[in-house]
Order: sequence, then structure tokens, then C-alpha cells
Amino acid sequence: MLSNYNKLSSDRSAKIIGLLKARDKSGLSLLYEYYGPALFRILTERIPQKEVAKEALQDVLMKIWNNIEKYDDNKGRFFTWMARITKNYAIDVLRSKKYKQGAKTDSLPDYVHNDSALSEENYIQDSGLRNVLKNLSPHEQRIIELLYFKGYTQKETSEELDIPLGTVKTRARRAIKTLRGILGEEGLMRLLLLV
Amino acid sequence: MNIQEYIASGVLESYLLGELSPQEQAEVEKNAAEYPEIRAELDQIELALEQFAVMSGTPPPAGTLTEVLQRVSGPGGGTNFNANRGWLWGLAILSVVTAGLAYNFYSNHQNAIQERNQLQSDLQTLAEDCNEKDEQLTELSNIIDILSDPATRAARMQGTELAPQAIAQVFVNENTQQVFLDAGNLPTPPADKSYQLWGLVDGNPVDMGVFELNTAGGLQAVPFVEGAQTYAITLEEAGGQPTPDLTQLYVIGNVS
Repeated sequence: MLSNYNKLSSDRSAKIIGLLKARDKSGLSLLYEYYGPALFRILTERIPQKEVAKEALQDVLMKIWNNIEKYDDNKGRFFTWMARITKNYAIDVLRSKKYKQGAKTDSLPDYVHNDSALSEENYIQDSGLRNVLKNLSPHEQRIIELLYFKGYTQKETSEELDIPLGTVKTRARRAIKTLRGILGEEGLMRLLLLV
Repeated sequence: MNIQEYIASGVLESYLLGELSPQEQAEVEKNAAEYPEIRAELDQIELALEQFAVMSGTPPPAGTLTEVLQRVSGPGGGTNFNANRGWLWGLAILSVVTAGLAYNFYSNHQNAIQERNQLQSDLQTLAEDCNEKDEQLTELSNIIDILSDPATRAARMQGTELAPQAIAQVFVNENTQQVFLDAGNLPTPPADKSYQLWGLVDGNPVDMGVFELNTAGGLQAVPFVEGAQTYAITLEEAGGQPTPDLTQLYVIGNVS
């Protein structure tokens, strides 16, 4: 099943890349449809203000549109490349003067906390994902969330969860291994439903 | 380099989670390009994280895409493109899928009808075969019953000068009034002639009909003639004669 998802996703990516390279806007629409939510979540986990995250997503889409020729499929999957652009851009936004000025007036810590709690709830309401996550221990889930969506380093994760760095590394590896095994089936089913 | 150790070090996960410095990233990419095992492992981790991310995404606010499409130039969008286009795409895909499914169902249905008709005709043939076998079986088991009945007696007919090697038999059961003929090894008759069986009652021949050779089962039912003690077969004009042509007597014999 994993290879089925692999093929489905690879076919999609290839189609999108082809359209983007041909400067066809429908490539952006497809990209947005398939990967927009995932990229947006990467942004919202780091940038709690929805409006700022939305603008950041638009900028990310522009970056992908403008830099598609730089994507090299020998170096990795298309989504990984986009996710990296997104993460890097989130860091740029958070470091920007404009953002820091805006953040002072926004009482950021509370917002971060609330927003995180909210999104976590959304996430758990999703039954397909809940089934997948049942296979991960709560610790493993938390680690993947912090590392992947929040973009914490392993060291930051170790401090946040108050567990040794070595344990973070082991659990992250184990969690990814579990995901590899189970997302094959669930992922494909969900993708089929989304189509 | 020990590939297993490299994979186990967790550096690939760190790479995909964006934790490595640009130099370290470049190194991972170089290794992945060089060692297919590392590339494969990286692909698998990438895929798992990608699925996780795609599945747990958050839909962006409405209008996000529209503004981007307005910013870029190129075909495939246009200014009237909006975020609601998503459902149109969905509808288009759904139509194609539905049409595909419909055609598939239709063609399956046609095949099924054809198959059903074929099966029906096969079934009919089998049923007819079955009835035929049933009749044959009934006939054979009747014959067996008759032959094994102690009341059944045989008349062994020996060849005359016309056919010295010929032998034929009749089996007669007075109780059930049934007679069976075993045409034995009579020579094949000319096309314009027929063999005719006679029962002799007090020396007078009684017509028991013409018959064909090689009947399935070797035995054929023939009419019962009350009081016949001797049986004979003559070769007559096709269709038979009211009285036998004794010059054409092939076999004759008494009931034992």
C-alpha cells in the first residue's frame, strides 16, 4: 500500500511540476488543492496569526512558482522541497521586523497557546488520522508534532518535554517507522476520499 | 562507510525535519546520490512524513489562492478564477469517474448478459443430455432387470449357409411380455435391404419388425409374440415384408 500512495503522490507531483514549468497557473491550483492544507499547517504551527500565516502561504506559493526550475527531483520528493521552503520562510517571517513589531501588540504567548490547543482539537476530530495516531504512543505523537509542524529542533523538543535528547532521537525514529507502516493504508484511503 | 550505521544514526530524519546545517544537508544529499540504500531509506521517511503532513493539514482561509493567481501571469487561471473552482474540479473529476464507472458497469452488464445466455444454453444442453442419459439408464436398467429375471429365457440363433459365422439372440420374458434382440454379428445389409425378425408360432412366422444394427447397448426392445418358440431373421426389401423370404434366412434358433 505504501507504494500505491507513493505512485499516486508521485504522479500528482509530476503533473504539478510539469504545469508549473510550463508556466500554467492550473499547476498552482492543483498544488494548492493537494498540498495547500499541509503547507498551511506548517505555517500556522509557527505563525499563530491566521492572517499573517495566510500571507506567508501566498508568498510561499509565489516562491514555488518562481523557483520551480531549481527543484531537482534527484535530491528528494517535491513535497519535501516545498515543505523546506515553507519552513524556511516561516523562520524568515518570524525574524522580520514587521512581524516583531506586530507581535508586541498581539500578546503572543496566550495566542500561541490557544491556537495550538485549537488546532490540536481539529486534528483529533479527524477520524482517519485518529486511527493512524492510535498506533503512536502519546509521547511519539507529541514528538512528531513538535519536530515536524512546530519545527522545534530535537534539543528544543527535549527541553519542552523534559526528556533526554537521546530519547527524543530514538522516539522520533520509532514514530517515523510506525508512520511508515500505517500511513500506507490510511493515507491512500483518505487521499481517495479527498479526490 | 557503514550504510546501516549511517541510517541508524538518525541523520536522515534530522535532514528531513530540517535540522541540519546547509553543509550537513549537502552531505546527506551527496550520500543519497551515491548509495541507493540511503536514497531508498530517505524516500521511505520522506513519504511517511509527507503523508502525515498531507493528512493532517489545515485548510487555508478562502481567497488565499485567488490572490496568488492574480499575482502571476500565465494561462490556466484567468482573473475569474476563484477558490470555489475547487468544487468544479471535483465535479469534473467526479463526472469523468462516473462516466468511466458507468461505461464499466454497462460493459460488465453486457458481458454478464452474454455470459448468462451462454450459460442458459449450456444448461439447456446439459439438461437434455441428462434426460437422454436418464432414458438410456432406465432402459438399460430395465434390460438388466429382464436379463437377470429367472423367468427370462434366451433363444440363440445360429447362422445359416448364407452367414455361417453369424450369431444373434433374443431374450424373452413371458411374465412381463418383453422381448429384447441382440443383433450379434450379422453382416451389414445392403442399403436397399433390411433385416426382419420373425417369431415362429407353431411353424407360422409372425412379423416382429425390421431393425437396425448397432443399437446402443447392444440390445433393442422388439414386439412380444405370444407362444413363439423359434426366432429367425431374414434379409428383406427395405421396410420389411408381410411374409419372410426363406431363401434369405440368415439366422434361426429355439428358445432354450
